[in-house]
Amino acid sequence: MRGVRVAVLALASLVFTPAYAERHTVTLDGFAFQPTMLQVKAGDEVEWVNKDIVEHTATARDGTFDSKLLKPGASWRWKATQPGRLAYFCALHPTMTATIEVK
Amino acid sequence: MKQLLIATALLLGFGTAAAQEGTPNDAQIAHIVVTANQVDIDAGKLAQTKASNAEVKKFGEQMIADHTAVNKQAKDLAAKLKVKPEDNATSRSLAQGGRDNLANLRGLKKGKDFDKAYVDHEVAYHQAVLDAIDKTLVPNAKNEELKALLVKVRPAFVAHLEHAKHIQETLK
Repeated sequence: MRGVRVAVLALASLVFTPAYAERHTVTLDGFAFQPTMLQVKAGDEVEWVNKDIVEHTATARDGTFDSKLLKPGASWRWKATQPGRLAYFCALHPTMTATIEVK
Repeated sequence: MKQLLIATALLLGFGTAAAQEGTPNDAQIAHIVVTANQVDIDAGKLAQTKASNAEVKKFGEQMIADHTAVNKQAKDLAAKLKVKPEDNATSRSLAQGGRDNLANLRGLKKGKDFDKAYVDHEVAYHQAVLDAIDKTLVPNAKNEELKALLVKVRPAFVAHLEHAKHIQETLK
C-alpha cells in the first residue's frame, strides 16, 4: 500500500513539475548578436551559435562568462544562475555588443 | 596632410576607374573583392610589426584575420562558380593605392605618427570599399551567390570602419 502511495506521489511530481529550464539561442551573424537583448530566467541555458564568416567571442564585461574563440559554425552554452543585467561583447570586434537580462 | 591626400586619391581613383571601365562583370567583381581584402591584409601586417599603440596593433591583427577569412570565402565561391577573377582598372587602382599607403607608412616614424596614419587610412579605406560594395559591386553582381556573398561580407567592413573610427578618436 505504501509503495503505491510513493509511486503515485512520484508520478504526480512529474506532472506538476515547476517551470523547467529553457534553452535560448543567440545567433552571431553579420557582426551582430541576434537578439541584441535577451531575457532569460535563472536556470535557463543560453547557446551562442556562430553563423558568421569570421571568428567571434561572447564575453561578459564583468567576467561572468566567456565563450573564448568561436569559429564559424561553432556554438557555446552557458547556464544563467544569478539574476542581473549582463552586458557582453565580442572581444575581437568591440563594436559588437549585446545584453542578457537574467530574471 | 600627405595621409589625407593619399586617402583622397584612393577614393577618387576607385571612383574614376570604375566610371571609366563602365560596370564590372562578375569575374571583375570577384577580383576587386580579393584585391580589396589583400590590400588590408598587407597593411595589417605592417601594423602588426610597426604599431606602438596596443589597440592599433590589435586592430591590425584583426584585419589580417578577418580579411583572410573573407578572402577564403570569396576564392572558394569563385572556384565553385568556375569564375576566374579578372584583373581590371578598379582592382589595379585599389592595389596601387595599397602600395602607395604601404610606402608612406614605411617612411613614417614609429609611434604616434605611424599609428595615426595607419588608422586614418583604415577609416578612409573601409569607407571607400563600403561605398564600392553599395554603389558598384552589389548592384552589378549577376550571379545570386556572388551577390549574397557581397551582402554577407558587408557587415565586416562596417564593423571595421566603426572600430577604426573609435581608435581614431583615441589617437587625437
